[in-house]
Amino acid sequence: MTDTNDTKKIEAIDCKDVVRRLYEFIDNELDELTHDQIEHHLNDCRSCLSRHEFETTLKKRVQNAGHEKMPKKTASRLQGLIDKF
Amino acid sequence: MNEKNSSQEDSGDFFKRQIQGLMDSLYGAAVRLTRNPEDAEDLVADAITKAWAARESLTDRDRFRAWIFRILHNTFVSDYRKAKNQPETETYTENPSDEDEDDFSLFDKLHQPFLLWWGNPEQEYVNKLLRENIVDAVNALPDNFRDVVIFIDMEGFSYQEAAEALDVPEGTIRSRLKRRRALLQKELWQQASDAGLDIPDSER
Repeated sequence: MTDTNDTKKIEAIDCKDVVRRLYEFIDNELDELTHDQIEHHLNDCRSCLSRHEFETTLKKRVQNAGHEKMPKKTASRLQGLIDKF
Repeated sequence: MNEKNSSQEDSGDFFKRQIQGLMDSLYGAAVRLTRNPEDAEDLVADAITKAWAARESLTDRDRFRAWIFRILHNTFVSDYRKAKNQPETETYTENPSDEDEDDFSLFDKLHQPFLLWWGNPEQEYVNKLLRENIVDAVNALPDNFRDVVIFIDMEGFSYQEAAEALDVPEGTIRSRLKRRRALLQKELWQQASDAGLDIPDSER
């Protein structure tokens, strides 16, 4: 960080920027500075915070929907295959 | 954070150890890709057989997961998607100019700021969604977007790992990002409305 800000002041960003980067924020794919900026904004902005909560919950639901219980028959066939390797 | 030093392990042993831990995940992704459990079983069987035969081609053991999922995905694309004559469900252009598509947001549809303190319609909506609503919505996505949802949202891959597994540049993953969620949410909105999920528009 080449900034001279001695208090490590986080530059404020507006809601539009937060909404634009929110998915990357949730996916944890932002650089540290941008991540902190958004986090900072979320502490102060109820509307963005609700949006964040919503998107996080939805992502979790989608994630859970991806889990499939493997039928026993399938599991034993695949295991049999691996055992032969 | 795999220990580099454990890479002395024989490639066969390493393969078997890794694959055991990933079977559920491979199967889950295969069900989502093929959209049916029988094909999914065959797909996983084919993919791990191919991977086993090609195990010496894995140069970086830390990348085992991306590598094996890449084989799974390639096998799906070449042997299943084509064989089943599943025309690639219309491939959306990556062109981000279609603003309407990009901007759909369930949150914007549902959020009611004036209810802020005593109601939360958007969370209620998510809680009411059924697993099958979500699965149907994911299934309805165009293939190139569905892949990204499966790898990133469902399997929890990083963008870089997903890029490796899907064999596209990381930039492509990022550019599909916003769009894929807008499309997914639009589908969800539709699926849920079709299923008669009551939309908390006129709260009681």
